Amino acid sequence: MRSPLRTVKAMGVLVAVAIFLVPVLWVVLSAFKPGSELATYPPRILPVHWTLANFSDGFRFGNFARYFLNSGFVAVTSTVLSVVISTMAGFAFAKFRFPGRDVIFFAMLATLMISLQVILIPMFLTLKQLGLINSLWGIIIPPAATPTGIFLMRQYMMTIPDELLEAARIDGATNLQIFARIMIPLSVPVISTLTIFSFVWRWNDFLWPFLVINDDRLQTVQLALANFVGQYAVKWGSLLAMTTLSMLPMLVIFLIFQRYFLRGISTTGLKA
Amino acid sequence: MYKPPPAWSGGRPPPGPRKERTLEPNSRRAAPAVRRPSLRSLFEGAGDRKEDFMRKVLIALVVFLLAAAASAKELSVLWFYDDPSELAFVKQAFAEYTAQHPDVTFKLNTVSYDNLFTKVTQLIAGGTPPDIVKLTDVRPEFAPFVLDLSKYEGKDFLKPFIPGVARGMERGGKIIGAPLDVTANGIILNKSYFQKAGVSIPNEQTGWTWTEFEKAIREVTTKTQARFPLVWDVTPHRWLTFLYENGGSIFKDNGTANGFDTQASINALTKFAAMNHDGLMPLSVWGGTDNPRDLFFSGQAVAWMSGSWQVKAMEDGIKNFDWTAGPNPSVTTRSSVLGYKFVSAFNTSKYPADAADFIRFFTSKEMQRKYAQQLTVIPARTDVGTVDYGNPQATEALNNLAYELKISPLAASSDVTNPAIAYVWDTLKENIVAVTLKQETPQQAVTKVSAAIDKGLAATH
Amino acid sequence: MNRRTPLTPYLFIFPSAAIFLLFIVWPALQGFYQSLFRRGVIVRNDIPALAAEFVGLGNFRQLLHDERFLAVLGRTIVYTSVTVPLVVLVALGLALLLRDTFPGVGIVRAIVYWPSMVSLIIVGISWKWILGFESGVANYLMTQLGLAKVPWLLDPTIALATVVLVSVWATAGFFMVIFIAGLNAIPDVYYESATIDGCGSLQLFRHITAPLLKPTTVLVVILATINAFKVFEQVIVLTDGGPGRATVFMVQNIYEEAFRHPFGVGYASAQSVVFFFIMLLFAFVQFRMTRGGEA
Repeated sequence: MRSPLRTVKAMGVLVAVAIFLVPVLWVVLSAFKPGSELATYPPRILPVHWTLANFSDGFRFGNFARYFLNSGFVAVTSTVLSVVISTMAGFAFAKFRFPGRDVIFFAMLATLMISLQVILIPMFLTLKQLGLINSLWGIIIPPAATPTGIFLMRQYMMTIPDELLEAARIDGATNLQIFARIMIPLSVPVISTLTIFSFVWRWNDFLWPFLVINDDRLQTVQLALANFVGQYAVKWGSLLAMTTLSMLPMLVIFLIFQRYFLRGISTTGLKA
Repeated sequence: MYKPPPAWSGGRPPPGPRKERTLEPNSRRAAPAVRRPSLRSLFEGAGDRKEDFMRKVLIALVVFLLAAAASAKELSVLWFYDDPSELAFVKQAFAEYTAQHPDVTFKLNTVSYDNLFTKVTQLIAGGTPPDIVKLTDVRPEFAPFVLDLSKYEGKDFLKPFIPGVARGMERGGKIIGAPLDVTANGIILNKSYFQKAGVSIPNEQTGWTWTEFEKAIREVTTKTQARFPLVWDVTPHRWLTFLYENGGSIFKDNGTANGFDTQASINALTKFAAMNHDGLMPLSVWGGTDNPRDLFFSGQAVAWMSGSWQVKAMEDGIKNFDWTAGPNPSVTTRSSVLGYKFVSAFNTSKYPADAADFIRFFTSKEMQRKYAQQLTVIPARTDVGTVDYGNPQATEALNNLAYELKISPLAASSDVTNPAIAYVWDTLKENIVAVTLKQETPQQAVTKVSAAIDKGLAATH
Repeated sequence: MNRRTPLTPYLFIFPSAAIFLLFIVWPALQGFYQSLFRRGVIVRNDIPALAAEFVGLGNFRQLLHDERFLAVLGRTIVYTSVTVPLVVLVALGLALLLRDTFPGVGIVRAIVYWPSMVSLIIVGISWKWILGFESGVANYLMTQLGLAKVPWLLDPTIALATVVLVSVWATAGFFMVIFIAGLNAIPDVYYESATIDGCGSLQLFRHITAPLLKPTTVLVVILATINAFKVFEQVIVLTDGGPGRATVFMVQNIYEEAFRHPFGVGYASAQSVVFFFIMLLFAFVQFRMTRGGEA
């Protein structure tokens, strides 16, 4: 009886790929089209004349090698920081009872509901007072606290059986040991998830870098991409080309870490 | 501002709080008692206290001497650009200026045009405004910070510039900036299609009426593979071309009163909306988000209401057909619309005189000529002479458009340079779109826009 | 603090809380304060033109009568109510489809997740290429098939539907990834014993998957709701709020008020305060009704 279900699933996968792939293909393939082909009628996905001019033009526009390094440094460092503090906070919210727990959690969640546009200046002034302006740390630290990440960790850790922790406590384990030896290993799928998310968020951040960075040499890739949008026209070719390149690190991180979305990790925990 | 010393991690005892470096030429006398520090040991920093002290003094001396030679003034500059060649030009200008004035250096920061206003206000609010900035308008939000150039460059500073633009640079007796280049709205035509259809384009002297123009482009469309006769940039600034061509204006009485509540405005709105529905223009441009530039570049449109700033992009990007600009068709009047960019300084600058002087240098005759040539734009000065753009199509198009601007009515330059216009743009665009989409009548649109105009005038006069 | 209250959780929360307080909460409080004034981006009380004018609750009173604001608010709530169920179902479906490891599953997941890897602006641009009225692929195919061109982004109602679908498309991948992590946290043991007992796929889903997935589902619903309320970038690219003002949502309204209307920062702040409390209410109700996802 498994066969029909498998066929249905296979078809579903194909449909999903088709629906999601077309726009991706357009972006990537358009990067190889000369300017005159970008807006042809009838529309074409494939370029007629393949060209690398958009890429070379893009690099001419700015020191993208450096921008990629900046973005990379920021994304990696901020992700490490974010995963650590979110896992810690998630653990606290999921496995402890303490006064103000739900209020604090909800307050953290509520920070997602603030419209950042109207507080750009107060945010900027705070960053300035802390000396974080024009420093990559200004875009590493502030965004590392993410309500989504904490929420993710909390929900996941709630599914880890309390019995495991009880058993460990009876054996005399400290909270730190429980955290390190039980929670983290059992949370590998969600930590991988958060790693991917955090990397992507930091890589694609525009608001924080815009506020913090003034020096051109500290720009991130996203800031540099904004320069392709001129006063009168958008340099589509270069924008699409550099966007395509910009996707690659995230793709790599995704493919690496999604392997850890493994099934049934929890079962090994029960045996320990 | 006192900065705390870096965290200490063992080894030598931490230095005390930083003392002001004072010049001590006599401290050299302390040296003979100790082995004279070699250049290398100056930087290696190991060794006993006396050598340490010597090292610091010698470094201080060197720094002082260098600083005395060039008491550096650094001007921070905020610039937006469409093409990197513009940045290269600006950096070259910096180098030339520093060569002539060795004590002045520059720090260039860039921002994209869309984010210019946010960045400027953010920097001002944060206490670190740039010294020099390239702008397209002075918004009420930061107007009080703009430096009055007349204090440093004299009241006649704007004389060599095109009068329409010069007027825009004067606000309440102050000179708020030096114009960089002007833009002129105009009709851009696919010359190849006209040739193929056997329809002729009148020259600048003859010109054509709107009726003649419409007839011509419709004919060209049927005889070629073009899909649309006309496409129009979706901005209120571009729409103003049509208002002026109908004999209308935004302000009147020397820019102090509302001039929009006229039959000319109603005609312009009505006819413009009709053009979107009778096959002359695709509704999906003004009524949606289809891009007119894409449509023209890809040969789907015969004519395109845009302006002189596209010439460079067309020069670089259009390879499969010939193009030209103008003449602008007239309903009752033949008109273009002025656009401009300028460079200003902020009065928060530590070196206002130097900032103003650099602005004078950057907009001097020779620099203007090079600027116009390099960026393929119309210079803002009248004494530059003919500019050779290198490319015959570009030269013809820009000259035509410059001519269009020259023969335009006063409103074409006085409206856009009126400070009150900042309050009008968004409302104007919204209502043009609403009339085009038949969501309201032209009369209703005129009433709403007039309200915005009155509000703007009250706020700025 | 009495001996029973552990210090540990507070310590574990501290790093995140400190960052939130410093960089978000403190500026947000200033933002709330801003809403009591009529002011521009820069305030200098020594320069008359830039002084902030205290209006107390005047901005809020004005909001009550602001037809445009109320219309935008209503539209945003409707949009959210339609988009959230859609995106949750699509994401769950995709997760069920792609939770297993088959050759190439990583690539397929990456393709579905791709919209999150590029900025929403690029997402908007790619869909604009597909849905452009005169030159888009979709209408080109329609004309080739002899059908009329569809005003995907030109007709007010259709444009709204288009924005919903594009947004679902753009965010489903993100929620799919969360669902996959949540699904795979359900121990195989439960499925095995239930199958041995003779349960079919549907029953497995109803009695095992759905209940054990509850914490994840709550997470997705609440995040999707907040996310939907804040829709902005892709709309700007797709329709710029058009046709007319038919697809203007709250964030665009606030943005325009703060940055395009002279001296609109106070009013925009008032709007964002109201908006904040509405989102808070939605999230609070969802949180309470589901007991925070506790099983």
